[in-house]
Amino acid sequence: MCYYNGQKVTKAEFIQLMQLEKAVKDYEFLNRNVTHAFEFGNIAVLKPRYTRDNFDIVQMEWGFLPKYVKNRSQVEKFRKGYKKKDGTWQKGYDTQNAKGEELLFPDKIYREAALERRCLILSSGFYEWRHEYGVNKRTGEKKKTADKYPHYIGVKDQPYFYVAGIWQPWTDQDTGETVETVSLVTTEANPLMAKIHNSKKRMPTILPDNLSWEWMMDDLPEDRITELATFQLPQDLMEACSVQKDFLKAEDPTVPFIYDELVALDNPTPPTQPSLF
Amino acid sequence: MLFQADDFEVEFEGMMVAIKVMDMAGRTVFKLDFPDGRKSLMISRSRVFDGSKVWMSIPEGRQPEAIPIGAKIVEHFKNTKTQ
Repeated sequence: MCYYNGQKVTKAEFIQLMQLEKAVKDYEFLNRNVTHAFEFGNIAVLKPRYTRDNFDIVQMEWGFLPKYVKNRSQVEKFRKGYKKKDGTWQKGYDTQNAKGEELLFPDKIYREAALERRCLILSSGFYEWRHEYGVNKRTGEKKKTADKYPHYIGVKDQPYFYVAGIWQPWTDQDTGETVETVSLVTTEANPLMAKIHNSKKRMPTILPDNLSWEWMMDDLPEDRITELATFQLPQDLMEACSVQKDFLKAEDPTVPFIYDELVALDNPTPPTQPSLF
Repeated sequence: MLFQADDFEVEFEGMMVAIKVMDMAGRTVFKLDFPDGRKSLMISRSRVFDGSKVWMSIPEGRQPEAIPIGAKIVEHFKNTKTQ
């Protein structure tokens, strides 16, 4: 006999309640409004089965971990950086995002995963910050520090969409705990994303359904992997709006917020001056 | 996951609790959202050892809320049927 919530239930009922508990946990996970990149938390990933005819939705730790990182204390140093013995600072490595153009470079930690362990990150939308250098009211000069305006970006008429990812199993050699870690593939920004993520001009590699399946399931030659990894979703399929600066605390962080001082995204970009030479 | 029925509200402790009916792992689950800011609660009916049915909080731990709100849900469906 088993107990659930202090109530005596049969073993069969207890098993069903456990299955229900897992379903509720998965629902709450998928129903989260925002996953921050720097939480290094879990995100929802579509992972192909060995048979390559279907996939499972699983949770993976966001932030690809190479095998040479031995334990959680090394993970901390790997991600956040550390002071070396000579007193200089070793910068941390950002492996939450992986540049699509560079995945297969021979010296990249992503190469093997890009060849053998491709997956899709499930997303309902994401946030990027637009950097604008306003004018200092006192001096009339351009500010040295940018004001940052968060934007919410999604794919039109799609509550969920897929972003190319690569994953890597990682084992903590102190505890034996194994987790699956993942990196989100990025590509050059399309014109809309270049206006928003104007500091880096990058965007997630969002794949339409047919390319998503190919990315995840097919045995691909290297040039096709790079082609898909650098696929740029056209801007007319995307939608974006500015949101409040403290959107992370909002009940619905996707609610649009208009900043009077910010030029609207749909304003035409001034044409670049053609070269005279 | 399928949403089975229209969302509805029940009165509980002087507030209106929003309820969504869902099908999860082959069971009907009710998701309760409270206006006073407390965390959402999932509840479902479970058959206990003596054969009777009891409202359960999923996961465990919020049984004192699950039972009275569950009773309100039963009342809501009874009233809906008789209308």
